Amino acid sequence: MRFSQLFTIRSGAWILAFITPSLALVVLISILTGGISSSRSFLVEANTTGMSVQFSGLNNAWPLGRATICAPLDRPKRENARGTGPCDERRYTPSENDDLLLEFPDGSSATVLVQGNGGLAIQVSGMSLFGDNTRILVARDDWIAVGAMVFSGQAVIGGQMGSGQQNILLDGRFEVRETSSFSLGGRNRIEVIKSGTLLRGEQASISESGADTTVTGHITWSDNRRSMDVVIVSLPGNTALSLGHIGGDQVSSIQPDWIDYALASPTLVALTLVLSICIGAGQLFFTATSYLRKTNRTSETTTTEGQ
Amino acid sequence: MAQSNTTVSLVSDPFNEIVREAAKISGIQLRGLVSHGAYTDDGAPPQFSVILPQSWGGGVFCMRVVSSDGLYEAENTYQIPSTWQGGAAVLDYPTSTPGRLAALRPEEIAISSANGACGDTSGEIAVTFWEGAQVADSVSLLINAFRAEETYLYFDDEPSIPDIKCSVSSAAIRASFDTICTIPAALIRGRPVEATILPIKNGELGREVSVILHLGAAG
Repeated sequence: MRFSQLFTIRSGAWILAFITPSLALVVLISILTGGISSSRSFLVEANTTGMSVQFSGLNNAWPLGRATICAPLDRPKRENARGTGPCDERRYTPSENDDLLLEFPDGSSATVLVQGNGGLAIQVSGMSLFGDNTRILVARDDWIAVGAMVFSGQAVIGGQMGSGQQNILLDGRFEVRETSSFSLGGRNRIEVIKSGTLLRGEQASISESGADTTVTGHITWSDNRRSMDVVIVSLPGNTALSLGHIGGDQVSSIQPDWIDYALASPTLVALTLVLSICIGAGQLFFTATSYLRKTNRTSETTTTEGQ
Repeated sequence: MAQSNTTVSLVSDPFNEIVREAAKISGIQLRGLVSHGAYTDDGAPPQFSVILPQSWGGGVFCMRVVSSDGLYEAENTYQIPSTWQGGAAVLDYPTSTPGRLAALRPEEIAISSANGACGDTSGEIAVTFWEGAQVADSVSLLINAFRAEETYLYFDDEPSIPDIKCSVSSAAIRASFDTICTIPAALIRGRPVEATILPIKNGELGREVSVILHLGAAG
């Protein structure tokens, strides 16, 4: 009876002694592979006065409704009068459109700026319908009536800071999300590995291997009449957030590493908790086993002496 | 001043050179008129030369060198002898950081040699040659257009010369200047011309700024 009891405790201890290091190994491997994982998405949410997009794919269309189209002249006519319309007639020929649908072909680009009057100025290039540097002006009420403008392509929020810059990121934040390599319970876990804030005047874009990568996103109006709200989400990949600062000699790149992963992943925190319980339990079993073995030996000695 | 009558001499003492750790942006719009040669850092200081018109004789001029990222700046006054006949002058440029200058690519450095003392220049600018032959075949005008979408350059006195559309600088950091205009080859080595700079920003024509360019003709 005593012997079988001892056997059970001892085998339990051996199992634990096996489980603990293998669990530790799993934690270590997941920290290391998490750090070099290539399936994370960056999310950037920003309040900005402007942004630029180079569109990719065939799904980029903005139903702008009522808009003023300022088509550029070949050369500015310096000697002419400006005129009183929304566009400078020394540079542009204005025309009104009551039902404008802007369809951006693959590779075309647009710079969107919020104007002083709360409206939008969209400068487009690479479109067959409009010449390069055509400005499309949308009044604020018409913009709000239009709703969100969705895009897919390479996006840069804010311009490079310098005196006179009007394309300014006002504030924002970013998150790095990743599908956990562990799916305990058969479900994929989405974890936030790293997050942070964007400072006023920074220029933000999402890159992969040094070049801007394709993101999807949307532009909506902000309550502040001088800005708009932009959200961009990168496709899963080995992506990084590129931030340009004033006074910096190069763009800084933010990418989570194994430290962020070890600190922020809930799965890892849970695994570490399980691991520490195992270690504690293992310690308890080993102490109990060695105590029982000692007691057993003592009682056996006593029995022998009694005979 | 006890100076030779034939050489251009450096007046600034000490040599005024700033290598800073953070960018400073000046309000000056015109940042340089330059013809670039290839500068290699062989330990010798970089060689700057400028073709100074005879009319500047007896006066001073201000030479400014700025890097595109705004981290290097030098601003120094030079004296021109009163008997100056016009022609090329090699400038004394005792820089403490020749390696730093050598690392700059052509679109990352702007040099202007403007008539008058520093801070009091007259709007006349002479082409500066950087490490190159003094026979320029390409001259660039470098401007801080304060993030204008487009910038045009007009030569109103030269009807045969078409207006120039300037391009946005390709430098990675455009803190001290952001626009580069290529001067038409027909004007190089010719008489001084008046150039008018027109920035277009936010869809609106901006204020025109005129400057006299001395493009290499001695006289």
